[in-house]
Amino acid sequence: MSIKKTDSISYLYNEMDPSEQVEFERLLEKNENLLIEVESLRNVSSKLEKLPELSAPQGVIQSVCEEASHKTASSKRMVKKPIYFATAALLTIGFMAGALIYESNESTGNVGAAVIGSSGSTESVQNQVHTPQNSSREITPWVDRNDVLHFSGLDNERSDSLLQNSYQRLTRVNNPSQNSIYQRNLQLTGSRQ
Amino acid sequence: MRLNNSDHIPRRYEQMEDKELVHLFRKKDDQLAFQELMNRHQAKIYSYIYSMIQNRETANDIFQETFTKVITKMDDTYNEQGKWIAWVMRIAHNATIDHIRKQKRFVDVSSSYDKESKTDFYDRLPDEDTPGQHDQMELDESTSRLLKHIGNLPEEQRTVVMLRHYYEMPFKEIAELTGVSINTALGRMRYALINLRKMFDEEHEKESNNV
Repeated sequence: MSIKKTDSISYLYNEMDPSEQVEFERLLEKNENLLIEVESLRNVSSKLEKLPELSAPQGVIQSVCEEASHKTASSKRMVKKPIYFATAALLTIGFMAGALIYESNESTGNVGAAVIGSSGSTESVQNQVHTPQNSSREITPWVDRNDVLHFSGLDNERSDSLLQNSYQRLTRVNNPSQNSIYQRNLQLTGSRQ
Repeated sequence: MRLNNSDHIPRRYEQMEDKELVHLFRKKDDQLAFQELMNRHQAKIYSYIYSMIQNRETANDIFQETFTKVITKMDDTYNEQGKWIAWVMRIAHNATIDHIRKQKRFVDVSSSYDKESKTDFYDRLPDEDTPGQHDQMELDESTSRLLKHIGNLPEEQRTVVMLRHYYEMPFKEIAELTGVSINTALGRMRYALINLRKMFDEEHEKESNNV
């Protein structure tokens, strides 16, 4: 085993592997100079063990503890602030979402109107319904939120025939991808004039 | 070394491990947990700083600075996987070394390399606070002399000696903390002990001559 200068320190401070330690002790028995160095270092090292532990002054410790409690208090305040921000953000999002839904309902209503318009406009439907045969009764068509066409004032038989007639006018959409949403709506519910 | 006014801390805190106390302080703002941590470790940290600086006022400032950083960085920087005390020790060490380096004067050191101690003038230059200023503490004479000798060691040798003594830090960890190889850390310890031996011998010689 070749001796490194730092081996004596590793040995003194128990930082050697057990096998290295055994080997080093064998060398110590053979090499007197090495033994003298190790013992001399051990002697100085043992003097260091007398170094006392010194306590920090009470006032300093007190102020550190106070600082810790202030930090805690301020972090609590910091925690509260995001709650306010989150509440405000939620309210804003809620209002915006409400406004958007309202807007979309409005526009859906318009699309519905357009749907009927494409099949000859609401007026034409009404005209169609107000035939001389039906003049005795008032028939009013209307479109609900889901763009479904309803007729009020019709009995079942007559409404069935009217719907049947309407369905026959519907045309198939051949290539829906080429059209915009509104065009598609028009085509899907459109009818031959 | 426990503090005198630590009686108000319940006994269950004494039985907890550091990481439990740290968790309580971080997550539940438990002040008693922090005080218990202080009780356990303040003396070692203070002793390390004081033995490096050897001036009470400055040691107090660095101690406080260390814990200010500990308190403010505990939520962001500290990883609970590692030992809390090793993390605090790193902060204390950096604060101490920063202070020592600030105190050193800017001089041309290139021509003053000492082959014997493997140090240059810059390393051997005493810190402004160091010589003879460790008088404020109530220490016995032999401890004062020992501290004086340690204060005369080059900074990096002193660091290794103190980290090993107060924290029983393995040389591998000392090497990591100080940014050197393990062999360099071991070498610094060896030179520190050799230098201290010389100082003790010289002192002994002076005393013999006086007698």
